[in-house]
Amino acid sequence: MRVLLVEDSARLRTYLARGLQRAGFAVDTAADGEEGLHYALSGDHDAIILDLMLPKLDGLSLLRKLRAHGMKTHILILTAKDTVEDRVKGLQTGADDYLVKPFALAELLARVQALVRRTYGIKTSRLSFGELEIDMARRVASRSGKELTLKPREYSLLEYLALRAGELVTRTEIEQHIYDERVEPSSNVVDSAICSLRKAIDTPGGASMIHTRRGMGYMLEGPRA
Amino acid sequence: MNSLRVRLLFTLSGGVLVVLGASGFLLYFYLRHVLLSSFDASILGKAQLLARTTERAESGGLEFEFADAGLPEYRPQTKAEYVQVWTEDGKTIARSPSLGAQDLRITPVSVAQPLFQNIALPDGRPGRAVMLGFVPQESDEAPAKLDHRKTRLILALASSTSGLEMTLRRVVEGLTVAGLALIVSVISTVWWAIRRELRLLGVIAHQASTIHADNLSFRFTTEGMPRELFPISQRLNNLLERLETAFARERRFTADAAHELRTPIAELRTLAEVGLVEARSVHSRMEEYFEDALGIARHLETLVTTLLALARCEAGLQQVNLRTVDVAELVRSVWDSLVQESSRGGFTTDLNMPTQACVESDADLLKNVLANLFSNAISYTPDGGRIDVSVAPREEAWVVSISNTTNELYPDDLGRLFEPFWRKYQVHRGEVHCGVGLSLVAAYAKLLGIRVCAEMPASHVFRIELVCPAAT
Repeated sequence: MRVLLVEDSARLRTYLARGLQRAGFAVDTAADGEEGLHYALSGDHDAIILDLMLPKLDGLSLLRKLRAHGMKTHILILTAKDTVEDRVKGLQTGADDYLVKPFALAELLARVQALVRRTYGIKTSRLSFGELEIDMARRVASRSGKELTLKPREYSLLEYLALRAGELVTRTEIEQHIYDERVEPSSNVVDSAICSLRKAIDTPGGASMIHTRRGMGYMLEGPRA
Repeated sequence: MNSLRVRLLFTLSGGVLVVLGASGFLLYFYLRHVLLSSFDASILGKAQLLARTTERAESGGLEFEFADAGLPEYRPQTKAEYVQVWTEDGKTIARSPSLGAQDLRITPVSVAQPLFQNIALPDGRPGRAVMLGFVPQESDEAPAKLDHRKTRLILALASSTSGLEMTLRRVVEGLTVAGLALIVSVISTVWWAIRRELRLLGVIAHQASTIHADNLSFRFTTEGMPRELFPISQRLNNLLERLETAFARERRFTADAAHELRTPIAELRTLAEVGLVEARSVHSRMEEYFEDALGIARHLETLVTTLLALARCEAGLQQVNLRTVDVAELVRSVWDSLVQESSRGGFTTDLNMPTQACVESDADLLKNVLANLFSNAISYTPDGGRIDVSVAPREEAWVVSISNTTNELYPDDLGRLFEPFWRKYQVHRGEVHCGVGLSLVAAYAKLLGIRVCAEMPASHVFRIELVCPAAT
């Protein structure tokens, strides 16, 4: 999942981005409001974490501009402003969640994950497709109750495909949502990752749960519980 | 009873009732006097008439009109008036039929002027009598005896005052009833008037009771306000305006302080949480984590130290050791040390100073003031900008002037420049500045008797001047 972090404190930005990446998120960072607006409008993010006191363009103005552009991405305000008026103003301006600094990283991650689930219309943190089960809170996948050994990138790919199960997911979408760095257009990193994931989750000799639509993308299919 | 209405009611009603009471008494005594005078004039007239009509007859005896049975007021049955005549030696020579054989309870005295006195009539009723001396008329037929002509008599006429007393009683009754009615109407009218005129005070009191910390923008209306209440409303509005400004400043301080403190705590917490996770697998970043933790601690230390220094100044606990300080030398040394420490470049500087500029100041506090101002100039001057520092004499002072190029400040910002935690854009710039430096500059300058002037002499140029009193 790709999130945008707009935060002016360099240290907080660095460590928070690192924490998010360790939780499996691809992270874009912006140090001021104008940069944040540029990233938000040009990228396809699953969630945005937004500070309010920002140079050049303050957080609420940025939020207003994004909503005025019709952007539906869920936004979490992360700020030192803690009064009820501030929270109400933030939520009424178009934010989906509000968290006051200092905060517990685990809580922030849980809230961001919840926002991402809401993006895909999913209420719980567990997804099941036949024998395959994905626990998004623990970031583990299991088949027939047996935990699978997945690399972080493979898990992220599986989670993204699972969130969009039954939908055709293009390579570009996978690149945008899973990879931190920009992927070269001619690169086959997505195909390689799909191949690795298939090996990890499919039953040997059985039909693959991930179907390839040649020239179009991939689709995860299976009996959903 | 500490109620303005009740006190006014008592005062006004009491005043009016005292005046009315006194008027009632005066009216009563005036009426009594008029009636008594009229009564006296009436009995005197009758007595004089009787005296004038008394004649010495041919026989040498005296003829009195009241002896005539035809006059009803002197009849024994009527007992309306009583007349008695004495000789000067007190011998009774005549009585009206109404007296019968009794005497008037009066001592005959030879008087030149009529004498009035209250007496008890023979029948026991109260009465009033007039006594006068007279010489009876000689009839033409009376024998001319010289001794008779010289005889002077005393006549007393008494009449009942029951009618007069009754009239006065009626007057008293009337005045009492009118007085009671007046008391009720005066109290009612005064109470109504007080309530009506003091209604605005009630309105002001009610409005004042609704004011609290969240609606300090409220203002009392001054339109249609009586002249006496106008200054009160105006002063209250001025007070509210000052309170609103102070509360807004306090709220900003709290919010800004929260931001300044929460952000480094959030940094430290996130650093620690991410570091803990990474420590289990990657150890190469430990140095970076510790460096950052130290940086955050330093920032918090600077913030807390500055806030404590500010609090010490405000509480009057900051010690000041005034002595002669060469401000030119101090400026040079602080500037050089900051420029060496700073990693910033990209701007030009110009220092213009005399060889010596002695001021009366505290070297440590002044050094802190200069360090804060130079640090701000170095941090906020944009690339390609310019910083000018000068020390020059002005009247009885040395003026330290620091001006720098700015892309962020505008003249409107100057009013809030010295507020704690005020920053343009309210952004967090790491550990270099914590937003209370200029507040401390203002506090130290006040202690040192230094006048601080912040201005924008030209577009994109910010200048701050310290007017330091020269050493004597």
